[in-house]
Amino acid sequence: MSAFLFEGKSVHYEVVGQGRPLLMLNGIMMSTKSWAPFLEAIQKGGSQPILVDLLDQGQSEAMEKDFPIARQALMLEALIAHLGLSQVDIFGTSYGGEVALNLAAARPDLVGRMVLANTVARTNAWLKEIGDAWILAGGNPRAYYATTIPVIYSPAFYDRKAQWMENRKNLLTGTAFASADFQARMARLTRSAESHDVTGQLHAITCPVLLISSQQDHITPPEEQAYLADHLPNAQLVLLPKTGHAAFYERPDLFTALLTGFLSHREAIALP
Amino acid sequence: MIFTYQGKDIHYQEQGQGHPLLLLNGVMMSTESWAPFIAPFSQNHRLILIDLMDQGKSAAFPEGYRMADQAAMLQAFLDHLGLARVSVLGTSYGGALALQLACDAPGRVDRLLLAATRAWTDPLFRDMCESWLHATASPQAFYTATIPLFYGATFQRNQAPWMAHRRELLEASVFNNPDFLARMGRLIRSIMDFDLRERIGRISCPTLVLAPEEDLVMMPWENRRIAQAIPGAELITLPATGHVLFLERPELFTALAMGWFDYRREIPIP
Repeated sequence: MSAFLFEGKSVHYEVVGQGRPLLMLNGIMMSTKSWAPFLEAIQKGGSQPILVDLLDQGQSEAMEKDFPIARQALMLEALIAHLGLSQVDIFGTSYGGEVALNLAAARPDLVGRMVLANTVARTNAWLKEIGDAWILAGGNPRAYYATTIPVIYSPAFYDRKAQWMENRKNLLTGTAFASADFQARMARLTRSAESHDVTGQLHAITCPVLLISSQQDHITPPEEQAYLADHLPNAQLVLLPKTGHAAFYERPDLFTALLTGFLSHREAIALP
Repeated sequence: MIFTYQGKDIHYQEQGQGHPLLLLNGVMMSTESWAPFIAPFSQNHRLILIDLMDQGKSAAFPEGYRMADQAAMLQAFLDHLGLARVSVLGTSYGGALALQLACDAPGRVDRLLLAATRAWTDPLFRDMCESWLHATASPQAFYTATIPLFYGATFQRNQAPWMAHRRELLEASVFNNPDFLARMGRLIRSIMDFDLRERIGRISCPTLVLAPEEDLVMMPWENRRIAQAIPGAELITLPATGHVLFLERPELFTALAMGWFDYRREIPIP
């Protein structure tokens, strides 16, 4: 458990074990705690997870007013410097993937390899309106749940994990979603994503990138990762059928295999 | 190394230490096809490469064997190595054979990766096989009947000079070799009555299916059929990738395969 100050705000982070530094960037509703089940496997793959609660997430201090997503990237630059690192691997999912793209666009030299799951190159008008719906539902825990969660998971996952989803509903609507502080943070985070657009900078992100796409992702649809695959100079794209936006929760074992395989096997292989 | 089966030589090769990982070749491949992958694949595994009957440096076998006979040879081979259980990576013909082995000897396969393969020879594939048999008549005919289907359209567009060089090479060497073409004929015939549709549902080891979207040989829907039939099987679709995915995307293939075989635990979601 550690914290550092960025522009006067305390940012919570955790460095787990030893190995190749791997910055793990949360989806918008997530926090450092979300990764607990994955840490052992990621370490076994040779990476050193660096978990961080982004501005307005988890145990990081709340912001007072709106900020652009680029501020998250600046904070991460400061964190990387604070840790004395010159380069890190980055894994980001959804909002975390978008922050990763902002950081890599601004400072390509800081990034070794990236794994981006369920990520878009920009927040288009459609996605902004999805965000507006989330903000509008913010005052009512049940409405917030019904607006945000069903579109995050696949129908197949709902069928498979009915009890887990029901427990999660009770948990979320009784705790985080009922908290005015959490809702204010979520609204600022959601608005920060409105400024996300790296479409003009993708050519500068030359590091190897693995893009993970989910067939039933209704927030960041597969076409968005196909766009990234077409415009990033060194990207590989895989698509997970019957999987929703929260791919890492729906296919945890496969997801871990993808992440550790891509980060631990870095050798170039030439055609015969 | 040589293993003797039915009085004939089966060529194999081992590298590295750890849990045994058996690689099963596509029909035109041999142990040599895996050369660029030996270093990463043997990093955490005892890697076992083998030329199947009628492949590479293994002996020619008499006409008439079927997939079940290749699988029986593999069982004898595992006995020879003293291995009770192995992980198996099979691509194309080798993937079909991996399914055959897992069905015939379920206790001997503990983890599967099936790349660009199918569980049966449907009428379309049977006729495709027949067209390849006819095409063994000339190097050019064999090339044009097989290779344009094997590599993805995207890869062929992006790697035109490499493809042209490959064509020259193949037509001047193996595709112009009557012994190679006779072996191909027997191998192709060995899969023409293949059908495990009724049996693969009983495979219970962790299985990952890789389905390249531009696979015009095994077809993406046949890849999906396997993932749907095997309980708990994982499926990954690879856009803009063809049947020979291991050559088309060698680094991604390595990451997927080694991620799958290195990582063997279950993550409990909270």
